[in-house]
Amino acid sequence: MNGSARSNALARALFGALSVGSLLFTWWLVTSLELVKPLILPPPSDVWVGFLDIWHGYLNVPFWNHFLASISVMLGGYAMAIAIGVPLGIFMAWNRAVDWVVGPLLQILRPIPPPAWIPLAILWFGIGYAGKIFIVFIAAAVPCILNSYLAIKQTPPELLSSARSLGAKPHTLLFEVAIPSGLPTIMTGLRIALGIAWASIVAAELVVSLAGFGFLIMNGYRNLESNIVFVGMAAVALLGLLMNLVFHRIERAMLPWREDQDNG
Amino acid sequence: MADGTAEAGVSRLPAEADRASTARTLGDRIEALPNALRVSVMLFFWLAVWYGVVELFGVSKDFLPNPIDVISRIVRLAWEPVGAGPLLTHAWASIVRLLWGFGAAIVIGVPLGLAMAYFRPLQWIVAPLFELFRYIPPIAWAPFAMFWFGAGSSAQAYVIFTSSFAPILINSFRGVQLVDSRLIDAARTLGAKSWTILFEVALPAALPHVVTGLRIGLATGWMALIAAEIVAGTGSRDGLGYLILQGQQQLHADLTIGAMVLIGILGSLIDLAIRAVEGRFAYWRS
Repeated sequence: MNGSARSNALARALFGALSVGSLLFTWWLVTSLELVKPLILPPPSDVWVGFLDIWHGYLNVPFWNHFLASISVMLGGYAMAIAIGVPLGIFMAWNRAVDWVVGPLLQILRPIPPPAWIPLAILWFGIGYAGKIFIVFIAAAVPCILNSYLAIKQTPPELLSSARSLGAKPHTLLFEVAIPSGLPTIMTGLRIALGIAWASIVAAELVVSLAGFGFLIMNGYRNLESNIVFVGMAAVALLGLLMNLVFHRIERAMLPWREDQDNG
Repeated sequence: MADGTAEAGVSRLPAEADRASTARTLGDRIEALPNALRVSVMLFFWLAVWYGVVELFGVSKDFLPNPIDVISRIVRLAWEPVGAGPLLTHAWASIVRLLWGFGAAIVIGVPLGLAMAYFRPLQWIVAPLFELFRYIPPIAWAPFAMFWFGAGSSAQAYVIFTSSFAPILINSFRGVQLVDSRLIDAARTLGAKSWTILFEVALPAALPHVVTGLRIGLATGWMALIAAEIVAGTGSRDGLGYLILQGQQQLHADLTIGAMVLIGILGSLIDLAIRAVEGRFAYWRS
């Protein structure tokens, strides 16, 4: 059993290296034989040049400005979404009056895709940071509210009734039973929100921006520099991956009792 | 948000039910009202708040029009053309794009996902590539899509494809992987050939997962569509996202908000429709 598992892992690694390797080789081959135009697919050497260009300050904007612009706006909107969304969701689940008042409003707003808010955000807040923070907030708040709401609503009734029969007061029930029992669901919401927040800031920067990775990508497009677009996309993907890894660490630290049962 | 699915937890405890039968508070009376009535009253309340804020503070129409302006704009959109035509032109353009991107994602994603679960080497080949592209937000593909297809419908459909593809592939793959191995063993014991097992055991058992993947793919595709129409819509003068953008560029906030409302409504209808389909496929999966 163990031996076959090991040979499986070996085969997996082999096939993986083979597939990624042949993708890279094909990329190199078709571009160096000039089967496709650099605009359609930039050759690896162009991408490297584009990377150096961005690193040393593409269009005279230093690399770290792009990094800071995207990351700070995204984290700002995300933090706001958590700070407002999680308590709101919990409050709605715990107090039916709040649910009656706020619930219908959220149900109406929820089906509007976050990118649809971009033009309105520009109209209201201009093309600077405030509008982008608003978009990230709108996008990330939905899963925060929704999962916090579900987390509290799905508290096992037997937990609540046994705590109550032991004489727990309502706020003890909420803070020491319902919230801890719902924490995994809340964290799942925060993880979903993280991905949506990152995609939203990139979308917003694609529409209008003065710095950031979306700005890089869009400028590459306007100047027909596909290598700049390529590097911008790679940077966005890499940072998305890194943030996800960091979040995973935090989640595991916060939920030590939960074995690594990933539910997507 | 009280849609009946998550009611089991807090509010329906026996102790509370007892209390309710002895002393009916105002809250209990409101709770006893039909859901639809409560929701409509509250929506009316929020519309009134919106109207009140706009009128009371004299907010400029270009900044935030009142709800009556928005509703009348939506109504006028039915025959007044913006860009390529009136409302139906735009809604139709958006839906056609959605179906192209979504359709391509089904045609490639479902067979690939099923095959990956069935032939392990294929899984080993595709999974690393999938991981490589996974963290690229769909909308970030827009510039390359425009390099490849020109700034028009095809580029937008491609962005939708990149968005729908991942959930469709993953759910099809998982669907086969999660098939109860006893079913397959039983079929094999009864002498079924591997093609029979695939088409008469594995695929039917995987179908509910596949349909769930389609539902998620359609929802993410819809989101990507609106983003694509805003980012990559320069070449085409139609689509609901185009309406939003036009409203902003011409400082007609009523058009922007009206189009957002329409997008929300249409998105909900699409979701309802596919949920109905999903329900039909999931009936044996109690």
